Amino acid sequence: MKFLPSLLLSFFLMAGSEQSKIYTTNTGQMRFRSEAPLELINASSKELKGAIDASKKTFAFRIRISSFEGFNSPLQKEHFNENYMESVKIPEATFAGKIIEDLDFSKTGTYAIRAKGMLTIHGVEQERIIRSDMEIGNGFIKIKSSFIVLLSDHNIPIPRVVKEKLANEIKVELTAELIQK
Amino acid sequence: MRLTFLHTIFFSFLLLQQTQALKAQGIVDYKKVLAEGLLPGKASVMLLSKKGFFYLATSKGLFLFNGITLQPFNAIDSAEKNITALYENKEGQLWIGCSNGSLYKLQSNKLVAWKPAEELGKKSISGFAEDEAGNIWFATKGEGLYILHQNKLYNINTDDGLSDNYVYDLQFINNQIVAATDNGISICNFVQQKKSVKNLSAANGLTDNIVQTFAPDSKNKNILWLGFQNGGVGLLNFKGQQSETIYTSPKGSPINKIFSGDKELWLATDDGLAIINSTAYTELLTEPITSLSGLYADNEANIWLLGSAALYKTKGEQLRLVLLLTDEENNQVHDLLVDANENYWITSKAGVLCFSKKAGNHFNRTYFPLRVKKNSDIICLYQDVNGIIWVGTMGDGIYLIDPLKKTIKQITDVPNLKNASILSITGTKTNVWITALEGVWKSPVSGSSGKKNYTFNNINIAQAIGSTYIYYVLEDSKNRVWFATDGKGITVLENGAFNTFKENDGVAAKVIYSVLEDRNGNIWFNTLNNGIYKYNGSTFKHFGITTGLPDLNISALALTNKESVFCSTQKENFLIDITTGRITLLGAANSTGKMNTDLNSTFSNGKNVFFHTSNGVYAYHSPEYNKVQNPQTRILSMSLFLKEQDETVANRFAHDENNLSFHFAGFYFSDPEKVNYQYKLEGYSNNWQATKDGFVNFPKLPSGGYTFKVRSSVTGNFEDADEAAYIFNIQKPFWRQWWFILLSITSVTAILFYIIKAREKEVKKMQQLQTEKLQSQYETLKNQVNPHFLFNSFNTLLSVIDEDPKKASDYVEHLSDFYRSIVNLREKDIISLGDELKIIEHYFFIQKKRFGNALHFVNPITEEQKLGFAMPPLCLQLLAENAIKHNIVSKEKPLTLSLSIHDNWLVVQNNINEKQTIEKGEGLGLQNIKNRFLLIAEKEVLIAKTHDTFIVKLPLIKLL
Repeated sequence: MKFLPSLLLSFFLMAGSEQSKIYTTNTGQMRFRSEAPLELINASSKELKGAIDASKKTFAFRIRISSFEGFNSPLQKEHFNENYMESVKIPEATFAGKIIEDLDFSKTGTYAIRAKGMLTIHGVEQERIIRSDMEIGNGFIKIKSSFIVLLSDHNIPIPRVVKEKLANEIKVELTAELIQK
Repeated sequence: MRLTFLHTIFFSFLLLQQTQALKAQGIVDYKKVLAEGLLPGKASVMLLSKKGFFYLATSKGLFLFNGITLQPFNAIDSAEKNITALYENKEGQLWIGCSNGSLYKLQSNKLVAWKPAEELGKKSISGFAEDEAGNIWFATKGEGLYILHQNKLYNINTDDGLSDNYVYDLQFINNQIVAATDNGISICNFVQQKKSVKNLSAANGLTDNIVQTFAPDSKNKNILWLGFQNGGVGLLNFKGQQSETIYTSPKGSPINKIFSGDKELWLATDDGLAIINSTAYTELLTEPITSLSGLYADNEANIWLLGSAALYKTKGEQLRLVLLLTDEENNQVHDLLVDANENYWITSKAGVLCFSKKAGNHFNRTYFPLRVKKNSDIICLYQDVNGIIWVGTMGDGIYLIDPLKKTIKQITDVPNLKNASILSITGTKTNVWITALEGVWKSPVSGSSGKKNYTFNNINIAQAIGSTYIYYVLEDSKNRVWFATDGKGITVLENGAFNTFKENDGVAAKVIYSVLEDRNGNIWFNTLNNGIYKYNGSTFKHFGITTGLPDLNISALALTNKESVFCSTQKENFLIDITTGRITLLGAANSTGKMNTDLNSTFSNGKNVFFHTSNGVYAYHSPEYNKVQNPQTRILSMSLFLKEQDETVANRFAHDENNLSFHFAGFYFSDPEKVNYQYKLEGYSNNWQATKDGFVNFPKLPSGGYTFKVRSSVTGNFEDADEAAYIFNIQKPFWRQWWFILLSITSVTAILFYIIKAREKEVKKMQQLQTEKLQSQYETLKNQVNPHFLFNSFNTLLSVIDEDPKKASDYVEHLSDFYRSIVNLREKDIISLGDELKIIEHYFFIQKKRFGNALHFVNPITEEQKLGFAMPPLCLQLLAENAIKHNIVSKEKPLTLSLSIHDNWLVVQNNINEKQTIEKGEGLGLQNIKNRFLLIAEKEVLIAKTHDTFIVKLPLIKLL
């Protein structure tokens, strides 16, 4: 994804420079739920990293897969990391792209926006349009979003044995507060 | 009949005088169908539905347009919709896009909001398309394109290479999606979730970057016509992707819509309509119409013009005023001719006018004066294979005009022809035929042009036909010559023999005006007041009022560019399909001006039919996209108890769902007011019912299978009409269902079976009772004839006789009563308790004489009880006898037998003093009593024995 390296690179470079148009976070929260007929899996992470470049309307987010906690059992977490997400081989999931709406970041307020970009999970890219609520404040941007990820879209196989325990539709929710650099 | 023809000429002359005051109209006649005020809101877009009607969208919602009026479609939500785009996909699903970015689908005639998980933007929707894979694309004015692929929404905007996010138009052309944007043309593909975009802009030769609209060429799919914001029209060739500008609208007003027809491009601009020739790029017409936004062709090849406030209908490319004549020119036009070089020739006063095309609508006009007598008329025109124009006159014979050399020559060397009054000139590649009041001539023509001398052979037909009054001669492709006579009908000359078809051949008409051979070799001829005949080589088919002809007096016939015959009456033109015979009215009359009613004043060059009116010369042709010639019948909705049903509702109804109604329509945009319907409900009535309404209700239908059929027509002839049908079934009530009837039969059978079984059981019981009774009788009799009893009785009697003869006779009476009772009662099943007691009393009287005070009988039974109960006979006697038999009866040990009644039980008890020597008894008696009571009273006899008492309880039968 063309945005991702440049943007992440740029916000590291920009760090320290005053009044940039870049908003970042390292502590965004992400939660997912799998509601299979036999088992409910719930896990969350507070290590969502992200940046929004208000001047270009571009954004990039990434999360370390192994940072998800709160599984039903340690064994389940192990399965999640080793069998499904292969987090050693593919440690991160990313979403990077551009906001469709024309936004004036200088105006504070709450906006419903749509983010168009590449969602990369398990190393498989999927183009997605994800709607999000965005609150633009003085020096910060709060985002809140929920969306569905289909395991089949990202080549995450569900063994037949656990079909009743793992849903193909994973509900993902995220909240983050990005601070202007 | 001679007068008729002369009158026709005179009459038309008068008409011309009258119509001179009429103002000539434009070359495209357009009629306002929905005027300002009739269109709710601001009209935006129309779409011809696969169902045959138009969807028309405005800023106030969606409407159905049937050619006359608008009917609204309702929405599930109440918000007002400013609709900006419509699309009907392959399955007939209508998509609706609005100015606020929202999308709707039409479901069961209602607008239902379509909301994807990704949510929609707020930018106006400007178009839809569907690619080969069935993905729905939609364009926005500000966010580029969206693709709906497997329930997920994808976006293509400038980040993906789209030329601009502001998209005006979107279409699927040549296996690719083409988008017109503010920055040129983008050609897009979406295969396996991979987007590809190729852009064409000013750098590629587009005149303007702002492409507002485009249309694929109607014939060449590699050609795209582009409409620019600056008023230019461009041609884009997909193959080489080159672009050139072919036209610019007069005021440079933006091109809003392009329609590519057979020969023309129609352009909707802010200032009105422009029509240009699509090969020569010449402007044919501009017509001012305020903010014209849309052009839509229906399947009858009418073209509709949608302005923001009004809707107009035109005949499109079908009908064109090709030659507008001035009043001076339009004087005594009796015939017209379009020569091989497409020059127009018309007859005039004392001469012939030739119009040759210069540029656009401009003509060079040449007048060929003929030296004819005063008041003579120029009647007919014909061009032979050599290019020579033949002119027939009234009283001055034939003139030959050489259009190249511009020479005029009168035929003067043929007797009778010099001053002949010519009626028609026709011909083939080898012969020219002339009919005149003076006779018929045939002139052979050779292919070599420039030949000066023609020869004329007079055909002597007076003898063969009996008339020389011939309107028209046709030599057909099979070398037959057809003569249209005045008064003698139709005559054919075949293999040297004349044959006149008579009424029993199928030709009733006597006055035939002209003859025509179609491309299939059928011969057609039109008549005076007798309609049209078609001869297929063996039989004649007549076309009259019943077959849908609007008029029986047909003045001319001509062949169209398609498989139909063009017919003219004094008021209008219509078509007859060569094979099906279906008649198509060519729409409202008068729009073309007053018809020229002269015979044969039409001309066909195979591509167009030309006819003359008070306005000038019109050309008719049927465009390629003219797919429909008659009303298209559709059932729009079905209602149950006047409540509209969902389309998906199964067509099976319960027995009480029997009030059905149908809304239907026959869509015919050329002449919607003339549509009439016939319907029938097969299964109810097999007769077609005529109606003008698009609605019918069937209340209280009995159960059964039905087919509702409806058809529509504008000619009154429904034979070949388009038909729509709805098959449905009203089920029988459950009590008439097969399963219920079967169940009922089974239950009745089961009940009968049970009754029979019970009866059998009863009979068996009776039989058993009978057996038991016989047994009892036998038993009793056996006992009574017991010799001991008799011996004892006689012994007693002997002793009594000595002591007291009076008592002896008493004794004998009792003895005889006893036996009589036994004999009388033994046959019965039950006897009253009283009768039974009588027997036992007689018995005890007899026994008491023997045993005296050693035997006691206690009987407290009341008279009431005696009558109130019943029991099987001789039971008590049997019990008493048993008691005497088994017990000692002596003064020291007397035997007492006592009776009593407790709760319907007769208790018989006696004290026990058992004999030492037990008398032989089989116990049969007691068993017999038990069985009889069980059968009759259906209760067990209870027997109890204590150390000193023997008790038998008999269940009595209570009498009422």
